[in-house]
Amino acid sequence: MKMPALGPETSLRISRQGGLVAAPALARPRQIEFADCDPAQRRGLCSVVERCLPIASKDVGRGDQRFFKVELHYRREDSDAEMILQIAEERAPQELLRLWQDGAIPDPPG
Amino acid sequence: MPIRSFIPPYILDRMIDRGSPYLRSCARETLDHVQSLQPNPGPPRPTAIAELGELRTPGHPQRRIHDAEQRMQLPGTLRRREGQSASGDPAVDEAYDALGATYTFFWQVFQRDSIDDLGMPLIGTVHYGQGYENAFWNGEQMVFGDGDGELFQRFTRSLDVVAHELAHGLIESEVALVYYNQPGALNESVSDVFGVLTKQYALGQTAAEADWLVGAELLTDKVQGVALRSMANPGTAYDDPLLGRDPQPAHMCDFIETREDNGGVHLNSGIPNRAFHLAAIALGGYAWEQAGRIWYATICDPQLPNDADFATFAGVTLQQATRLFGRGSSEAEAVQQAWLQVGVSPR
Repeated sequence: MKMPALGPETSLRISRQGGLVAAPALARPRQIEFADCDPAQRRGLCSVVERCLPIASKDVGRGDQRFFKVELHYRREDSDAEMILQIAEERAPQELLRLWQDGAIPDPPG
Repeated sequence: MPIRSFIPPYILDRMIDRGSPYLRSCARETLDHVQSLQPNPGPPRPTAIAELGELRTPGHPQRRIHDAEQRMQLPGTLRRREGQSASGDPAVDEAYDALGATYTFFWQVFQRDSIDDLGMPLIGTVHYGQGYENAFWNGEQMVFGDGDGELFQRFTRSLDVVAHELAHGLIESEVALVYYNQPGALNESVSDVFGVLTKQYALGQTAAEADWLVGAELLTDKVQGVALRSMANPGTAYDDPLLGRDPQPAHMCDFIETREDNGGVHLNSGIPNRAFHLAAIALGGYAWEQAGRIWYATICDPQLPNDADFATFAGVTLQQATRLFGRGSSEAEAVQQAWLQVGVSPR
């Protein structure tokens, strides 16, 4: 899976899913609009998603294991598009955890 | 990597928004630990399992309880092995006892020798993570968190929860129901069924006497609720400012179409859960003797596809009820009526 080009109309949603307890509040979804971010923040968000690309899997959650769902909604060639990544909890990078938990955006690379 | 900036979430998280400082710090500590994630060594090595398997003793479990010491590496330090006396650590001893009770249930009721019916060792890890509010089966072992102490207590407190996780392993070794959409909800439901049956068997309860709750021992007094799930009345287990409201449907007319939670595997399981409860109540007596026997035969039936939907699964329960108890038997009739009552027509 490759990183798409993301414009200012992009929306990023992160939630934690799965687990024995299906209580709605435990998903703690967090949605971030690129339109609300400056260019450095957007690059920081993209770096988090890029770190998730190689560890994303469709086969997550079995047997009550928890996982993170990263959803990108963006525009591609004048139409709506989306990319969904699922990351096993034990493989989730620290930057993703902090972004989900606190809305903390890491410094962009470079 | 330094944290550069913070932005407010678009969707406010109730737990973060209203949770106590301690609750937040538990989540934070878990994250801090994950920060130091080294490659997870994963479950016990297959060779280690094979070595333990050589000790196979049908009718007697082979338990190994490990301690993750609040870290997230498996299996952790071995604390108690089969035959050793109590460790004094409640989580270790609860896991040991609950896995033993689950083994006893499957052996005495179904003559099944452990998860794979080949005497597979029962490996559990307790004290996983910090304030970790979950329990799971990772394909080779069971893992239990301590809970945050504010909403959830340690997950080994509930026999039905420990049995639920072991049942996931059993299902994987039999029909291996796909963990998505309706087959995934069946996977969850069957785990709930054998979880509560294990508890009812241990307590000697009839279907009428049982509470049909999953995880009744896990919620703290601060939570407005009685359990994680109710098989008798899905959707009524809790309604709490922090946790939200129990989202389980009880009938197909309320079936939840969603891409969340692997297609709602922990949500729509309320429907087959209630079907089992209705069948067990209609038949009376001990639920494991008739309804439980039918459900067990169903998941062991090679005709049951791993992508079965509710209707297909219901059809196989009906076939098994007929095979075990006869065509037109009260058992077959009760099973059929139970499925129809939740809006599922057996196929």
